[in-house]
Amino acid sequence: MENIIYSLYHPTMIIGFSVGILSLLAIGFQKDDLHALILADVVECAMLVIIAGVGTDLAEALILPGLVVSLAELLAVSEVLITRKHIQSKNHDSKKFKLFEEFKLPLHTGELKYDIEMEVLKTSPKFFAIILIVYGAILSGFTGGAVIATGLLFYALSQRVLGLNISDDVKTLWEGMAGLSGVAWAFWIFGFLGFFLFPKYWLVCLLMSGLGLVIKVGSKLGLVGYIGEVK
Amino acid sequence: MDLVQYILYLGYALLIIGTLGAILGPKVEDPLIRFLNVEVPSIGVALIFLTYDEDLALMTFIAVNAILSLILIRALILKEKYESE
Repeated sequence: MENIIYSLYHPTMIIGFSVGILSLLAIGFQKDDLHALILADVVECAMLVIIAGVGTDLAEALILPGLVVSLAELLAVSEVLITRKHIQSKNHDSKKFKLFEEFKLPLHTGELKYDIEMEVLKTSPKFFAIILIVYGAILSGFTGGAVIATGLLFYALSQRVLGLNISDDVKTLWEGMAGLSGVAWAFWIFGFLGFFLFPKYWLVCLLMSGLGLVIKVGSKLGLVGYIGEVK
Repeated sequence: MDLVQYILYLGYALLIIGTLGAILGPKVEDPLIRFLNVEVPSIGVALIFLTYDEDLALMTFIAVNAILSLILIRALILKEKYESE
């Protein structure tokens, strides 16, 4: 049973390393910060190809956190760049934007001539968020956490685009879920250990780690939507 | 040759051409054009994921890329805005 994938390991490694070295050299010769940030995206592609070349399930499990971490890293670095440009600019009183606030509808900035209030703009974000959260809770595990986080993010960002505030009840619930994520992490680790220590109780361990991971990933990724709401 | 190999070699070609395009391509002094060139190697990475049968990673990669392009475009817009003031 010679799988064709095994013969493709060396070319993938060569391509991945050459792309990585090329883009790192380009960052080294780059003067402008924003260009370096964009080229860091290419380095991330090279990293992903090198891990993917191993071609096992463990490699796939390593790619998922790598993607999330690279997203958080680029978000943080771009925020630092923007803040520095804001400090360097001569006009210090100019408006500072929250994340994704610049995509606000013209309706609420007063640029549109007619005052159109549509009910669907207020109700549909809640509907979609609830469907995604329930579906994610049923899926459980990393995928379910990602689906829940998508629902939370969609709700938070659509409230911001509409120019509305998130209600205090939702904020308190959200904070409580984020506080629970440390406990959820412990659940995940103990469930994972349980597979090896008590193989007889595999179903309990599976449910425990699935539940832990869904709370952890969902609350952590959903926190992105929470930035800027804290006073 | 298998279909898998065609997809993989297409992914390699897109990765290499896209990287060279992002580094040395025409008019890359404009950050927007450099950013658009970076989209080509990411399609190559998606094809390589497809070859190695990593479907969950492929879906997450596409979703992350969509959010990433929003973040980078935002950084571009605000940088231009603050520099012009």
